[in-house]
Amino acid sequence: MKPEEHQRRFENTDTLINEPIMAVDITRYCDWLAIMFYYGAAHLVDKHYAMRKRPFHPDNHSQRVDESRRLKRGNVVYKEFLLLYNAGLNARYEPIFYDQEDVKELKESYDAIKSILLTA
Amino acid sequence: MESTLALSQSYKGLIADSILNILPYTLAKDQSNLLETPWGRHMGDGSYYTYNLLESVRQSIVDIPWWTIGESNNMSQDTCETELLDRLINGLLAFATTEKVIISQREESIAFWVVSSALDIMTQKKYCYFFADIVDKEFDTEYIFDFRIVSPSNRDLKRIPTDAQVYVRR
Repeated sequence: MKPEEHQRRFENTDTLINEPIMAVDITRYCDWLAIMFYYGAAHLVDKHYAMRKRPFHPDNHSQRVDESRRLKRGNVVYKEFLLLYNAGLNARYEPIFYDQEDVKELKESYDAIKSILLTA
Repeated sequence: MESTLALSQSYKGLIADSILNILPYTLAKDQSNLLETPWGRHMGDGSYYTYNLLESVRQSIVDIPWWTIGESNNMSQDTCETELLDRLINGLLAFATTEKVIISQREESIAFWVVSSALDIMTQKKYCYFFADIVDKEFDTEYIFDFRIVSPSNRDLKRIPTDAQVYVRR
């Protein structure tokens, strides 16, 4: 996809994240919110990969997450993105259920990535 | 730390490899619907000397707290990189929730799985921050890392490559 298409995907996901029903302190859908945090962030990092002179299109999530080390303020983006990646996969495939405290932590990671990559 | 891993990467790996070679036989033996495994010296009581000997060796290996599988496919890092990997492994094993650390490498791609008894977000955060800090500061960017925190019941653990290295918390 092109950078503007990733941006549109990000905005679509971000809009859903900010719907009242998904508010971190009341939502009953903590597992889906964790997954949305990852995919929202994924479209932001993919947008930056696609903006390069030689665009990079990751084949899988492992490549996508590892490549985030090479972004602006990659030391921050990488560790927050790594957390969202694990949290999202575990929300889907592990027998655990996140609560409000969990998704508040994840929102901090998501917001940190947004604040860096939306202004870059 | 160095001595522990050096030990792990020498004789334990070799022994574990040897055990892996006989494991199919011992597993076959465990299936009661099969006939007696027809190899080894018959002991008269229905058992087989060679089988019993190897089974006892296998049991003793399983009891070793730190063990590795597939060490014959040694990683090719230089000493510096090996020390960095040691730091990662020992650091991950130091977490109270860690049960195992599993590593698989294909050339420049290194996959880590941490088998954890807890998967709340604060626990995952501690693991991710620790891992990311070391990888970001210490490793060259040509390496591609994958890092997963999973529960002991995670189905992906059944698909771990046979030459993966497995480290168990003491």
